[in-house]
Amino acid sequence: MNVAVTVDAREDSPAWLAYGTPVFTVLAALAVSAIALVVLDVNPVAAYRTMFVETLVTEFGISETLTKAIPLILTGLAVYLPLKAGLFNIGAEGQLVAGALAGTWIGLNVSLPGLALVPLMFVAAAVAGGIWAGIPAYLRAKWDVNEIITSLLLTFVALEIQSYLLRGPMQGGAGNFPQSDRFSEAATIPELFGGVHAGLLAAVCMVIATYVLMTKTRLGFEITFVGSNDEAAQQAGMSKFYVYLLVFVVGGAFAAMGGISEIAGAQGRYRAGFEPGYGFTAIPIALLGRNSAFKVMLAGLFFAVLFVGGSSMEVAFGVPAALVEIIQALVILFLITAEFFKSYRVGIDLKRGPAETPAQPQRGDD
Amino acid sequence: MVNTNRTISRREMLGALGATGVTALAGCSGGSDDTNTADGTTTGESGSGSDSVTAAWVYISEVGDLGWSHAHDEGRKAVDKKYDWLETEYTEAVAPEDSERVFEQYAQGDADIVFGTTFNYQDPMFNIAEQYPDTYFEHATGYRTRENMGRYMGRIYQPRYLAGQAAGMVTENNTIGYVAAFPIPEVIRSINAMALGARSVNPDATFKIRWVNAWFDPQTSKQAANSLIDDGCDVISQEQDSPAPVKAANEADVWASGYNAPMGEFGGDNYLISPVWNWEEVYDPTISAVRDETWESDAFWGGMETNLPTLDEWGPEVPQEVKDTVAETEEKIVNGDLDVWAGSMFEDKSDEFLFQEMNSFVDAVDAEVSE
Repeated sequence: MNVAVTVDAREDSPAWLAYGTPVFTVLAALAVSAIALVVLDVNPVAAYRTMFVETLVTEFGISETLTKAIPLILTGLAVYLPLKAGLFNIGAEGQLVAGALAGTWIGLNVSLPGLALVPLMFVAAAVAGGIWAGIPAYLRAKWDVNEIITSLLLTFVALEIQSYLLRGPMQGGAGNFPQSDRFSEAATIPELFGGVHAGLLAAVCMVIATYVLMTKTRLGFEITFVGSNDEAAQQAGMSKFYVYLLVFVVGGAFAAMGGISEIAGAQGRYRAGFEPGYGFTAIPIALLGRNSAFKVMLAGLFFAVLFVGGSSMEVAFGVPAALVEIIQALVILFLITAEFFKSYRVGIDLKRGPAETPAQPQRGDD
Repeated sequence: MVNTNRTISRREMLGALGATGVTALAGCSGGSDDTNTADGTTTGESGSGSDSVTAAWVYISEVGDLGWSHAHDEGRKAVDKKYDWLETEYTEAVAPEDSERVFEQYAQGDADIVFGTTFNYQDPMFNIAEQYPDTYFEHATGYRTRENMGRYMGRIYQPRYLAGQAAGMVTENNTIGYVAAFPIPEVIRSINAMALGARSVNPDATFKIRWVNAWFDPQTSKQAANSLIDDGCDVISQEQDSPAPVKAANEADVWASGYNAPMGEFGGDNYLISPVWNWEEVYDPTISAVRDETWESDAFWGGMETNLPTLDEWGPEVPQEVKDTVAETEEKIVNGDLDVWAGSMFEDKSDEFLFQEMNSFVDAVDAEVSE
């Protein structure tokens, strides 16, 4: 008997599969994680209730989730846009840091009323993040230098600059601790509702802008074209150089806005060691949401629920931090695996008898 | 600032309470959560105010870091075991960015007191303490307080000085390596104290520093230790939350002094000694004060006389002469006869300066603090 696994590309995914897989896979991941919870003597149903239901129905859970989602959505877009052009922006974290530093500097050193100062901080952050992302983009567009490596390594450069600035020119507050001064009232992003700061508006606007760019404009078409087949795009008269530079610079600006909104909206001051990892979480977010900017937003919200709910579960049940990370990782792993099954049909062929596999004798005939 | 009487008197008082009132208390405390006490007595409501206390800890790294958070968690476990009226909870590996949410969840829940154990929790805790005036907060290593938020730390520089003496005596190259976290006053203070200790017994001892820029990063701190060893250091010391530098020293067969929690099991034959924490010495009186409704916001900075900062056990091969010298100095420090900073550039500096303004190294340290 011979067992063969066949993998065929689906021509189109059935609707039940497209909408059902995310639900099934999340449930499957939670079922696997439940084993660990049971071993730790925690009731999985109660734990998941805290993790998901309470996070989504209590005011506290919702406002924390939305706050957490702001930088996740923005950095998600920062990875999503280059992805559409076939590039991998692995350095969104560095762009986030560069932008947050520039925006913080403006917030601490420029005195303007809040209505002008906060937008100026966003612009400064976007410029810095754009420049930071522009370096790997230019190197890729001009010299074909691998953008995965350069964008990633520039993250560490940004973190070292952060260390320097917070111990040197930007150091403030009592004592000699590596942190900036606290933001003034004017430099703090105002509250939108129930503890959620107005950075949410920026995130939603950028999602809409990206959606319009990708679906309604010629430029969006060019980005998708270059991403699908860059040689054909160039034959058709499109500039790969321009598209590569654009997606990275705009992406870097998105990540930077995520950084400054977190610092000026949620943190209140810039502290050394601010390495939230949003820029890295952004990669699975963009992969999950790669079909549309709105899906990036949903993926960002979903990850925010995972983080906030996971932390609530830790607080409520005293489970180890590692377990929450395992649950989060399993959910991501299952979701990304499901993407594969959505696009490919997997079959198992059972064949009987060796006579039906004539591969060996044939080889001798060649 | 340091009120050692607070610790001792409260402990003595508790001892007395335990001896005389144990039966009276047992009724209310043991049964306070589940009301079905065996004997069914309802005498518990009288007397000592709130019956049970719920205390919560928030840690920067996992309690399995075998260092800083581990030491705090040992303190938590000790009080949890000691008092049956006490309920303890903790959350580990909470990044400062996320700590505000965790503090808020504990405050919204049933926590009477919340301990935050890393410097960068200071602002988040300060904010939450304002919003939840009925919950007590205690922040380790910081400098901000409120009516309902105290701070606590220990003079770990004293055992550091002693470990420095030991390092200064065993080094043959006169070069001691120090794997350091961040150039903040707390870390600089420890390096200076260790360097002064080494110089007190060895005028040629010098210190080399490697900055890891993280409290907990075993991989980088191991690399830092190896780089120091390559640079000629034959004693490795550390301000890191993991024993990685001690392990690296053990593999390279040089002396090692750890930090936070006993690290002898990772140091092999060349293990020296480590400055360690007995956080129970803070948690016990603080939580008892919450129960007695006598808690007040204060700034506690206890020295070796409180047993909060102390030393662990000697390694197997440490010469007797080293042990004797350190024991003699330790006695002087505990008795208050020796100020670690005497004769240094920090002599007669205020506690406030020592705690949050120290920003330069003594001569023995071959490094500079970037301005």
